[in-house]
Amino acid sequence: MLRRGKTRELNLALAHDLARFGGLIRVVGPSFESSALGVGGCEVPVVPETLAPLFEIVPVQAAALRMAELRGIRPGSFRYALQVAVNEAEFRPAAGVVMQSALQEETVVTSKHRWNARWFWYSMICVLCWGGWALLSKLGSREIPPETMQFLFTVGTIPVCLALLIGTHGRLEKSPHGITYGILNGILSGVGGLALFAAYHSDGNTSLITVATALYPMITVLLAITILRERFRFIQALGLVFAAVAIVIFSL
Amino acid sequence: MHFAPWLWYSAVTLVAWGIVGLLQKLSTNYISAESSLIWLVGGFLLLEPLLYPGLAVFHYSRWNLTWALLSGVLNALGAWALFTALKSGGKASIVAPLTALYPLVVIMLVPFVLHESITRLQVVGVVCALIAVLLLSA
Repeated sequence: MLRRGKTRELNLALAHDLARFGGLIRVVGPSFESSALGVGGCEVPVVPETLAPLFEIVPVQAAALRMAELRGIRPGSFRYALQVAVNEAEFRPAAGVVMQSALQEETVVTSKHRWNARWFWYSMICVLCWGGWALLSKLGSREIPPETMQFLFTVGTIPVCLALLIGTHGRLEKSPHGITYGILNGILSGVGGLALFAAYHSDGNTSLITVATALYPMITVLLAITILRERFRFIQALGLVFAAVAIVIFSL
Repeated sequence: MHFAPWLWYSAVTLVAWGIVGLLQKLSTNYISAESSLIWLVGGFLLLEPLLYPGLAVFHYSRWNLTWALLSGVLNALGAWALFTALKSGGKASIVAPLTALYPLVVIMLVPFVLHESITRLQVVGVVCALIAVLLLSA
């Protein structure tokens, strides 16, 4: 379904991904869309964007529901994935989604209150672990030089990795692209780690070093915009300004 | 402006990890976050022969060696907790900024553990950096 609205680019990317893995693509939308993509289509009239879901989504879902019944599949059940998380706060049924909401009842799994949501506590565990990692890195670096710190740090990550491997029953994905990126990430993370240990080994202030190195998303955002051509959002621009101010203050 | 040695080192970390952030986005197009972490440690292991300290490692104090090893354990555990948070229905746009606030733990503990302090101006810098981290990882 290729609406011309805000999600058009996302839908296009999804279509290309599906095609890349051998999926069959059919465009439900105005005929010029299917001819532009060079695939078969199911033509529907051009309507105002707000009405588009009625024409483009509801018929497809009605057909899917009927087909599922004919094949004895319970609609809305998860067969290939555990769950799809939908945040209730942002789940506002629109005209075209009324039918969808009946199907997706089971997919709304996010807890209403952040405090009793499991994801929140896992996030807190993450914060505490990473806080502990930074602090212990400093403590060790007072005496141990950066190279040895990185060597020992790596030894420390191995048991967790083994536990993770056992937890996934040894199912390690072996996509050549994935492996290349993963290993490259490891080497770059290692270089970053070495520099971090060097910073801690110098007489720099621990809080400032930790905060300054935590600013790395600024580089990711800049690279994503320049290399991946991602959209530059206002919130990111604001973030970059704050990061720049922080770095200038640290250098005074 | 004066870039002290620690700031230069931090800049190297910033750039290296910034690129990692981008590659991580690309790697999870092909493999799961868990597999990505395991291959990442594979990359760490490739560096090990270059970093091998030999028997010199036993000259360091037992406590400092423990901290170094534990820092590796905690870092990997943190990554595991992050993946689990995302799999338990946490939205990336909330979980990522929340977990990026880990320096707060350090800032709160440093005065007690290391007896270091920062100037008022540096506090402003820290606050700006934390706001930046929140906005950039949202």
